Amino acid sequence: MATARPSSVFISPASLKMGALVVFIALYTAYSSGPFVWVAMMSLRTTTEIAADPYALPWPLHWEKFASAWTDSNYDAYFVNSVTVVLAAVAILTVIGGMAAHCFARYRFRFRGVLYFVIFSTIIFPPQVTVIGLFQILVEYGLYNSRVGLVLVYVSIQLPITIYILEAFFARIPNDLFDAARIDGYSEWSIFWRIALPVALPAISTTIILNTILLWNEFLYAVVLITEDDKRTLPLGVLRFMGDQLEDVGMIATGLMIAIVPVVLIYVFFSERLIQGMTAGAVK
Amino acid sequence: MSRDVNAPATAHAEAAQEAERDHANPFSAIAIFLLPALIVYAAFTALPVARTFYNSTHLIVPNRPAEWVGFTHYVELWSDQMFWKAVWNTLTWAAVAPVLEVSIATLLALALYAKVPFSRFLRVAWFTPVLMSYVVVGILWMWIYNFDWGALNALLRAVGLGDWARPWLGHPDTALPALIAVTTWMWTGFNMVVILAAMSSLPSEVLEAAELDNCGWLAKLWFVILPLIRPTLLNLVVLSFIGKMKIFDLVWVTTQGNPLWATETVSTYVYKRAFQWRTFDLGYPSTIAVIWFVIVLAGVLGLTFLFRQRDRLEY
Amino acid sequence: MAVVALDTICKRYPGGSEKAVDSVSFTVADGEFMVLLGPSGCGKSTTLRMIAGLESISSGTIAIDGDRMNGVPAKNRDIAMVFQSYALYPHMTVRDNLGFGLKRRQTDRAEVKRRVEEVAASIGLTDYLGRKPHALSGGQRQRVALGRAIVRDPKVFLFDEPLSNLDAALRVSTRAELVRLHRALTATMIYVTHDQVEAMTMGDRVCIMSEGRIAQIGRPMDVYMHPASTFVARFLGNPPMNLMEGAATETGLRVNDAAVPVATILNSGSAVTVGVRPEDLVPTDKADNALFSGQVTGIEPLGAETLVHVDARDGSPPIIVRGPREVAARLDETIHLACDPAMIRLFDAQTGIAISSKELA
Ligand SMILES: Nc1ncnc2c1ncn2[C@@H]1O[C@H](COP(=O)(O)OP(=O)(O)O)[C@@H](O)[C@H]1O
Ligand SMILES: [Mg+2]
Repeated sequence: MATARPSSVFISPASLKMGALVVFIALYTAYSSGPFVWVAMMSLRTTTEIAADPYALPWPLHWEKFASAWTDSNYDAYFVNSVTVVLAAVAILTVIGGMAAHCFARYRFRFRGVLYFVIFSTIIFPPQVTVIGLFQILVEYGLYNSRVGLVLVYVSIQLPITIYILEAFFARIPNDLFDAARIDGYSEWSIFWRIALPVALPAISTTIILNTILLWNEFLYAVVLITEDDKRTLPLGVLRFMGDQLEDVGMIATGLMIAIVPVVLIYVFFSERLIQGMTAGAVK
Repeated sequence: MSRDVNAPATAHAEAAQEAERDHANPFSAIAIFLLPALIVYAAFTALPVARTFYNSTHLIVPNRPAEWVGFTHYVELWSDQMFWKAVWNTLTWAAVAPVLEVSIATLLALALYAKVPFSRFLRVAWFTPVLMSYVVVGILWMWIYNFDWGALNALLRAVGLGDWARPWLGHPDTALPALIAVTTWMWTGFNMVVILAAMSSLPSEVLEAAELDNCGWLAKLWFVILPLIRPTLLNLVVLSFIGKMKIFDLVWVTTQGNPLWATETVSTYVYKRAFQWRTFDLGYPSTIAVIWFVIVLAGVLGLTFLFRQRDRLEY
Repeated sequence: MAVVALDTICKRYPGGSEKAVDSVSFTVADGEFMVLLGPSGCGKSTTLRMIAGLESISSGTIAIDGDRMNGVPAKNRDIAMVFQSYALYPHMTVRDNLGFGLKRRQTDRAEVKRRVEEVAASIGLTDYLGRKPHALSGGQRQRVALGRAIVRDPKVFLFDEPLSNLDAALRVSTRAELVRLHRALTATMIYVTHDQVEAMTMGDRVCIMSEGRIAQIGRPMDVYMHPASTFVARFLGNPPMNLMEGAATETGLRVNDAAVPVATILNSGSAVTVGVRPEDLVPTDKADNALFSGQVTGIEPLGAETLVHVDARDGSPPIIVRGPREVAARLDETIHLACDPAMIRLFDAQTGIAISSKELA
């Protein structure tokens, strides 16, 4: 070891510290990113190739696996389901969450504090306490096994955090702005659409991205509320796919990549905004 | 909207006037803005919660009216070994994971705070796992823990520790720690980003003052930086605690509570009792949910109180 | 035509213990420039916002041109308002900021465009029409705020401290521009400020408020010359009016050692507060009949004039004299001050309310 040899003039304590730091960072980065690299490589290799050597580089690149994963299973349906459910839920969330947040930030009314606290405290509820009742209620409403039902449930589970993030932002918009718009002749409703929403666009886009990712990955409510194959969302589909193709590691890896890629694409384009959204609740 | 209840004697004369609209807070606008959210909240959050509470004192069997059974479910739960096993596992998870996540995250944040090269890239890379679905993560880590060709065992064999190789998720002793390692993998980067943000927003005068006091690097960390970002750290611990108390997806995808209930969590147990075991009674799992709700609430309040208390003692 | 009439307006905010505005009544004539002046927190903004329809009125009535406005929302009152913070829409260009209110009322796009450009030209904003507010200087933002009001051609203009975010030089020039604008538009304007210079220079009339109530209304010079109370006397004028203790006598008034030939309705011997503006005090040699004698404790040359602080060292408040550029007084010397009896104002020693007085021949 370097420290055991005081004669070594080339390794100073400072560079030793630096070296330890680099090793620590490298190890953690391998732990953090290694799994992705591995699955990405496997997604481009056939199961036979993987069985021969699980860690070899992907060569030749079997891009056709993505096409067959799409066609040979229900992947296209899962994907479309996920996209429609998530887009619908996020659109509704943005509008009604924005409206409620605007209301909390802008107006003073009786029970304002109580209502806000009740909605916000839902953030700590364990999902078990809603999921059974939800199951019964959706069955009674005829919304069990329906994408509409899932959309509404998704809206309700993301509503508190959406209102929380947006309210904090709306509250920082000066009131004079709204008063000016009132005097300019606009109704409360058009002030919301023409002033509050555009001015709060950074926060709005943060919540849109955050909700998109979280709902794209949502599993518990989907698995309880959706059992028919043609209504499954992507996380359920991936699991189903794994159940079907238990030994076909190469194809499962391809399936995983199909689920990962949209998230990574959003991440690549909006990483700052996304990080901001994910951490919004954690920073006081 | 809100009226002055203590209006003086003129209240009578003013009453007619006060009936006129409150221009600053028009009731109709408030109602329109709030109503959709309140309806969704009432129908899909408040009502289900109330329903679960109602269930917990009833026997809920399909095609039959709910039957009041008093607190028999609660009594039964008291002697339900599997429930207590699940509680133990979940609490272990919720106690260990936050500490691991936040402490490793602090080290990583310090590394980036010390301005190592590529810090922007590293920040983005370390954050990535938290964006993945637990389903994807679960499958991926099942492979990594695979006995024959999994990455972990391959690594151990490659460095000559082949004896340590084992089916990590298949053994009751290692299954839970293995899963805790997965959540740590997912959430540490997230915690790191939050901590780094807190560090970056520290007033630079404080750090410079410490510099002038000839503080060593470690002393600066221990006596200046950590105390200052303490609220953030505690916040993250609470957040991580809440997350682990809810954990379901990862377990469901990987082990479904096996082997030998070593990874059973309260969430998976509720799910099994409600939707899998074909007991067809929603009452008992509702009771578990209610009890768990109370425990989580107590945990969060307890942690908050504990941290508050210590803060008060210190300052 | 736009006459704004307030009749015993009161405002109590929910949860507020005191009335923020208490029984305020005044009428602003058509084309009049009315200034609401008072210290911070006295209820000026609240009054203005009730006129605008941004706050509800707890009691009393507001009428514009005889029409009761209490229940009418802001958008239907045909008023325009300029805010202290300007409140420009940050996501819109100057053009859209100016046109936003017009578009709501006027559907003809071409007409909106023509009007916006006309107003932009008149206040020198033509080159900035495409910019967003964050790319403008403070003065330019203020102009946009002003233009947004002008473009609407409202019945009544309301201003809430529109100049207080400008630097001193810009404030002076904008003040003059606002006066010019008022003449050009001959519109009714109500202007809130805590700055007495703005009030004195711009207002046709000034309404001075204190703790939610009206202290005095009148033309600026009248208010300055004849303050209705010691509050107004001290609030208006910089430095404020000097207040001294005095007493009524058989023959007039006694202030310190001086017998002042001023007639009052007061009984002989009753106490009175005597007010004299700093510019009305002059040094005198006649020590035995001086209104005030004391030591010079400070000399402040301001360029055009000099302020001299005089202290009697007997516990009474020090006096400030406004003298010419060069004053004879030296620090620490004792001087004697006199004044034209016509310039003396009297106030009730208890209530501070003005007492009418007359100079004896
Ligand atoms: N929205 C409000 N809620 C409660 N009290 C208010 C509100 N706005 C103003 N006040 C109170 O009313 C009084 C008058 O305020 P304001 O009209 O803004 O004063 P000014 O404009 O003269 O400085 C102050 O005491 C202030 O604290
Ligand atoms: Mg004000």
